[in-house]
Amino acid sequence: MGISRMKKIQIGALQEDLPQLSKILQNLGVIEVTGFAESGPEQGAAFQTSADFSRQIAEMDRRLAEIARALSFFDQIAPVKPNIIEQFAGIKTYITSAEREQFLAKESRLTELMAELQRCETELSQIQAERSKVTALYETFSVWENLDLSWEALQGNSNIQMILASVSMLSAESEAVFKGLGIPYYLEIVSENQNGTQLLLSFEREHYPEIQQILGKINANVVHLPDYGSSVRAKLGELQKELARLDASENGVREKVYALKGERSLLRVFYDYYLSEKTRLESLEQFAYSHRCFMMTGWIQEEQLSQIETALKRNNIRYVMEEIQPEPDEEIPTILKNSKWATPFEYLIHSYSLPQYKEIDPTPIIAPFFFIFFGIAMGDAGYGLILALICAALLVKLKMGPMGRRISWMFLISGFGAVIFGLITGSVLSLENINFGLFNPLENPILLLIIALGLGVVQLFLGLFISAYATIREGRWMDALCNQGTLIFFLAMAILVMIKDAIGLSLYSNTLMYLFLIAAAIMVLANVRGKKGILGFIGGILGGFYNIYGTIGFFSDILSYSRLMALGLSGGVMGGIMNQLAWMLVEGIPIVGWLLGATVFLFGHCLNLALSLLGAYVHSSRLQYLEFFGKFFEGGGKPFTPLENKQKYTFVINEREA
Amino acid sequence: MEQWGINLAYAGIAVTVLFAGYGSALGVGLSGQAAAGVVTEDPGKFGKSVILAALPGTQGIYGFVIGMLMYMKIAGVDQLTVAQGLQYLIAGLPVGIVGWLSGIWQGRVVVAGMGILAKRPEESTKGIIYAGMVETYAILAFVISFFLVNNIR
Repeated sequence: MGISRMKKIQIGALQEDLPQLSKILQNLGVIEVTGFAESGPEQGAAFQTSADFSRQIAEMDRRLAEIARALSFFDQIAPVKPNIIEQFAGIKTYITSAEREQFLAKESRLTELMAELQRCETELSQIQAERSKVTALYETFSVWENLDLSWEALQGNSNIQMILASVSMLSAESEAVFKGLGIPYYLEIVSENQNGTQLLLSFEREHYPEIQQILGKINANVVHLPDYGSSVRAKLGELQKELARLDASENGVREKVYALKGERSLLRVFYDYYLSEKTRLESLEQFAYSHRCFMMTGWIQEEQLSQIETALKRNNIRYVMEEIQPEPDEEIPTILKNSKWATPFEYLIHSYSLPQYKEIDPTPIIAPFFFIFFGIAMGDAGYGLILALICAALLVKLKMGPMGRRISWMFLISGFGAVIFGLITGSVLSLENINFGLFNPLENPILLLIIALGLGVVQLFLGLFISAYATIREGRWMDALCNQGTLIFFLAMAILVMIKDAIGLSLYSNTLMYLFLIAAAIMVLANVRGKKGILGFIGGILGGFYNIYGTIGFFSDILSYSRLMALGLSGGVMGGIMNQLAWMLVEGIPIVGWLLGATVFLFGHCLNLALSLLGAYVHSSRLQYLEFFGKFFEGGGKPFTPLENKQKYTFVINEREA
Repeated sequence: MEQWGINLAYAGIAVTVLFAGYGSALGVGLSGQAAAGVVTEDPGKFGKSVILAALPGTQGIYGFVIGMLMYMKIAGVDQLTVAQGLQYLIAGLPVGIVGWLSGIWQGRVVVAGMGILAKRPEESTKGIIYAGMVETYAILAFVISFFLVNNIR
């Protein structure tokens, strides 16, 4: 229960067994490889601390980059639509280990596929380049579409020269300039549009300099068209055909890639394989090597030690393994281990912070509280059941990784919390004519508030007790008694004084008052312990009073639990409003009203369910994180990261699940 | 004069729904803009960004619920005294005003939380918790408004 016991071990073997041994360890995924300390006594002079695997790692990086490129090329042409779970968890290919082996046997196919994809990509970019060239040409010609001279005729003869020019605007003035020149010329407007005017000018060759001058004056650009043969129009038709041909061949390439999309899995499996290889090689850099042997060290869960021994023996590897003492300041990795029912709630710890190795794992404690809080905050048996059914369906229908399964199980279990609390309060989809249950929160909200605050008191005191227990476990009896002990006594008395009338202790009100004052005095005095001198004494007393002042925080923490009541109530009222709206439609409009009413009912409750779920999850976990963890939990543990096969794109499931 | 009782109660409902709704609309608006930015970079984060972006929406719901409770209480009543009407108006103020301001501030916290989602998606739950902390005060205001409305005779 709680946090797994870790052992630090050291394994030595012959270098010839290095690849096989490291692969076995990686497949087991039970050992976290650590490096050797700089001057570890266990190395001896014969071992050198590092080896160079950088060339092999670089090779893996190269292959990974290639596959990643191919995959993104695939995504571009045949994108995958993620389903609702994949929105959260990312898209993964689920395969069995047998299928994985089959994929990995097809390395030659991978090479082929990659070459093919590469070819398609090059082809596509060539087509792209060609298309932009043709499009540019088309744009150049399109404004000259009405020019009815062939290219040859446009070149003129020994006497006559023809030029094409484009000008942004041809005004009457500029025409006058031409006329004023007094030389024979011919000017034709080929086309006119908002971008400018295209001109054909012909004149005697000897006058070219004057014409040039005038063109400069009216800001005209001389245009040299490339050879277009008999007519511009025919050339444009040709270019259009060319574009259509390019489109067709692009589609052809795209279809070819699209047809290959079934082999995306192959790429993904190999990506993860190379990624795992890279991780393995990187871990090898942490081993120590002698001439013929190597030595590695790492963390392992105590009960998994035997797994390594069996696996290595089965593969006939000669090795030595021993348990070693960790360095005094070494951080021990944390891995949580809980019973079947509490395990799903580990997700809550993972998304906060793992406990340190020496700490207490709060999972089994927060599991029941989260269950109850979620139940109150959701507060409706119908919603709870729907949520549980949705989660069950997800668990059955969809393949998920361990974290996804945990979250689904957590909400499935917590959904039943809402079912139970909904039955207690007689709330099923907020329907009005259901009259069972112990009390109705809408008629008796104070009782719900008391339940919520009462749960808060229970959980917060539990937090203080755990903190005391943790102090005692470290062997600091006196500290636990003087700090947490006096605090618990004081808070208990303070609460008793506050609620004495409500629980029928008003007869003992004086006794309780004295006890409360005594508790306060003890708390102040206990703070003096360990302080030296008169100044220390005064400081301790003042600090004690400050501690009493600080207990206000405890009461505001209790009040924070009122959110459970608020969430339960608002969800209930909201559901009731949806029912009323639906009923109004049914009563108000004949026949169609039933349809409209049913739509409002369904849509309204879906919306309310989603909001209740969001609120119940956020606030139930917040109460754990801020109010409860604040009492005892430090966190910041280093997660256990064993050497294992990496699964970025694939997820290996066992045959039964597939 | 009799009319004023009802008028004040209506004003109470309006204040409750209006302010809390305004706060939520602004908060969700802010967070929705940030969410769209995150999804532009990585469409796979849509699911998580929706959860974050929906958080400032609750204030509007609280205001609506209180407003609806008030409405249901006065629906069958013909006359209200001015004192009663004023009680409705005052009862709506906590959830109206706190909902308004906390909705906006929660929206801002969510915008910052979107940064966590964009850069360190594995830690995005923490952004949700930060936003949830702002919600506390809307909840406290809701509780008080609820009891005040319940208490009006």
